[in-house]
Amino acid sequence: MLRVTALSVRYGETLALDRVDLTVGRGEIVAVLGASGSGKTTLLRAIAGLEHPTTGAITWDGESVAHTPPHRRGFGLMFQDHALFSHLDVRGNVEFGLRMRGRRPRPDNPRPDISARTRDVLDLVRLAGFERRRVDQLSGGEQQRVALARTLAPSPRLLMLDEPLASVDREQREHLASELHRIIRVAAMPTLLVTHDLDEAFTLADVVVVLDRGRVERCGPARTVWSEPGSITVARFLGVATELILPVADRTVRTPWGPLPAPAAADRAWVGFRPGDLRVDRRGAVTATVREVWFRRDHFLLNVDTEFGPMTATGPRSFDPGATVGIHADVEAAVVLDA
Amino acid sequence: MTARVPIWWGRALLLGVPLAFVTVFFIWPVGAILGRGFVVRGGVDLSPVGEVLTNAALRRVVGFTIWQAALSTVATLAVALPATAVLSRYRFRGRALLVAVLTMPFVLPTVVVATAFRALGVHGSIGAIVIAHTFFNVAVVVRIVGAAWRGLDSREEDAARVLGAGPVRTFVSVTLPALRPALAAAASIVFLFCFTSFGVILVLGGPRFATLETEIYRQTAQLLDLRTAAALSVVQLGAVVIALGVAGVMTGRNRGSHRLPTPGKIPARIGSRARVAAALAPAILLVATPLLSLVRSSLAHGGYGYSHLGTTPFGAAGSPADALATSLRIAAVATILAVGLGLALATAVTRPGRRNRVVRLAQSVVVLPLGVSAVTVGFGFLIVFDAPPLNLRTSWWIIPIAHALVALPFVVRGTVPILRAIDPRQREAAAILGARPWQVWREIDLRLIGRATAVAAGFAFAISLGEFGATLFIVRPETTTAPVAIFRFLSRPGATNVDQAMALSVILMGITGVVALIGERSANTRSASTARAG
Repeated sequence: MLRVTALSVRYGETLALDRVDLTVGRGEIVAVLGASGSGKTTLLRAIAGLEHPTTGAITWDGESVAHTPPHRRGFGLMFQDHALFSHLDVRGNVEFGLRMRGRRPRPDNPRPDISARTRDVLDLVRLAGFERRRVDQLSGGEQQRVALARTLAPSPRLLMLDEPLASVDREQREHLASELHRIIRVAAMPTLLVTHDLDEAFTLADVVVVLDRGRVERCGPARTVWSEPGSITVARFLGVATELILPVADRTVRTPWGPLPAPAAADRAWVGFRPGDLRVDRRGAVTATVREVWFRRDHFLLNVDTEFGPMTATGPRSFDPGATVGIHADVEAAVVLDA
Repeated sequence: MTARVPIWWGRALLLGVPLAFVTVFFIWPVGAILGRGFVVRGGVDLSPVGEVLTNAALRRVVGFTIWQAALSTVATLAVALPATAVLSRYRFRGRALLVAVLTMPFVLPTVVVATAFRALGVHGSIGAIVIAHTFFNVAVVVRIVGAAWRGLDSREEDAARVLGAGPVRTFVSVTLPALRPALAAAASIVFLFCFTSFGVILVLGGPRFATLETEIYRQTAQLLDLRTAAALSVVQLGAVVIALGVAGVMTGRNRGSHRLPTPGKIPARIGSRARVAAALAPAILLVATPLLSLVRSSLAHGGYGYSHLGTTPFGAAGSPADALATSLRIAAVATILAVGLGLALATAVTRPGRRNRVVRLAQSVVVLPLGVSAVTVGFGFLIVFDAPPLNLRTSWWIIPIAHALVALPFVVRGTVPILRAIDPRQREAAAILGARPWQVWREIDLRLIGRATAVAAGFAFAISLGEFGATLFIVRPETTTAPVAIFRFLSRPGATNVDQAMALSVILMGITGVVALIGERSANTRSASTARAG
């Protein structure tokens, strides 16, 4: 397994990574989630050996890889925008890693039959028959699958994906996300992917790591991180749009929609809701005035004002601005933190 | 970081060997000339240079050098720009062939070009010199300005048109400013080439017209006045440095992205066909006439020149065939040297990592021979390699080394932009997929510059075949190259000598033409991948 301990990378004055701890176990998919500039790509590059850590350790099965150059680490990295070899065709790209490794068989990766392996991997990403195609004439989704095939072909002991779906059309994205999930599961490789996209992280990963300005803010099983972000910053990043400060009595938060257990013995608590967990209707436990309405294909998103402050909620139909409405909440889904 | 040590060594070697080559075979000889010009009996003395500048005859030489170069530059631009405009903007059948024909003269041996004009009866006047220079340098303008013109983002012109600018307005306010750096670069290179032109002036000017280059040669070879020659070389170097500086300022530090030029898109319709023909006519006439007349003259006297290629004229060192064989051998060695050293250097300076001072220095040092005249280099060789520690004067190697030095900048300049345009992540991706550093170079760098290298090699070969100025200084009877043989045959009395010179010129032209055409073809078929790697 991969273990990253107190990893820091400094570029001149900027600290791109600040004492990052991380593990990727056998057969585990870990997603590092962060805004652009949070240090996600630097993390992958440092693990791959393309950046030199200022401090910290990177080990594989307990052995340090600090002195192993990138071409001997046996890690696979799929670059953002793929970095396909444009002077080679699809097959040339996919078999590249096999050709490079072919001359020096490793005990755990005996000399592979290059063409058979290439065919298998292209089958896996459903690109059989594309062997002779030029990579710059492929669609974004096809390029993404070539990049994935190229990374998978030499059977790396760790699979790293940098924003794997970023350069894919919105229509293709959902389909490719499930494809990617299937392929990673079939390949059964420990996988570390970085993304800024919540859907991508939470649909693909077992474990989610939230990175902010080079620092790990939260780390845990995907469902736990989603329901218990642990801090207001992470909660906001994970889609909480409505923030309420509510009174606490007897270790219970009094919300307009019912009681919730309080996190600490304070007299106030911070309660957050994602838009999907607040519903707008004609009447509800909280009375609100509609301020703005946006159409969102299968629902409406509304900004409303209430006695507790502004809220962002969803509704099945549109309401005119200025209309008086009611807000329902799924109290179980609320994020409760210290105020 | 134990793994980095061998890489560091490799890089040092890649940088060190070409740098050592340029230092020994360029900086040292040129430095020696500077020493001769400035240092007298252990002290710095400017009097030789002062004498040159106060001597009325020599001052006339300096003046004439500048005057003919300026005149030639203006004439070249006047003939070449209309043709360039048409070739860059219009699409018509035979366009590629025309580009090939117009750019071929550049690689033709100067002596051959001069001989061609002599065959036309054009010589012994400043007009002859200017016409020959124009013939030569149309290629520079077509190449440099043409590439910039085709590389222009036509959407900028479209935007200007949509914003209400007429065709003339668009040209003046959008196209011309975008072309300005290329125009300045082309003009300054043409000026430099004409300023340092040697063979053309020696063959076409006759004794009446002397430039700095021919005067340096005359002082050395005929008057044996090395001190004056050195002083003239210093003046020459100074003028070149000033010209390069002015060119640098005019061109600006415009580091455009390396883009694949898009060929002309406007199909030439009936109405515009006349315009296209009119714009191209002067350039084509200028290029085609002397070449055709050279071929015709070479057939005089029943093709005597061709039937007597193996005949050694009385008193000469060898036959035309001997000279040709020597030239081909030298060109092969010079090409290997130039390409090997050039690729090593290009690789070293474009490796990812910090661009330290050594790398930057290496890059500017290696292109220096481009600006210094061949005659100066040849003269420097004569001074330096005549005595231990490096007594190469009698060695066969001295000529291919001199030629490689002249060709080296072209190899470096041809490959560095492409290497630099390679997305570093392509190399990183290769490394992560298990490629060792030399495998990364072989699989990525070499694959992408393969064709550019072939073009550069062809160019180096052509340069070596035609090199005259430096060779004339260091040549020995048994190493007589084809251009030197042509020059010698021409300066002997007797029609048969002229016939042999003409025939040899045509053959040399044919070989360089074929080499250049191969280069041109591979440049044209260069797949989009090369440029799109960035």
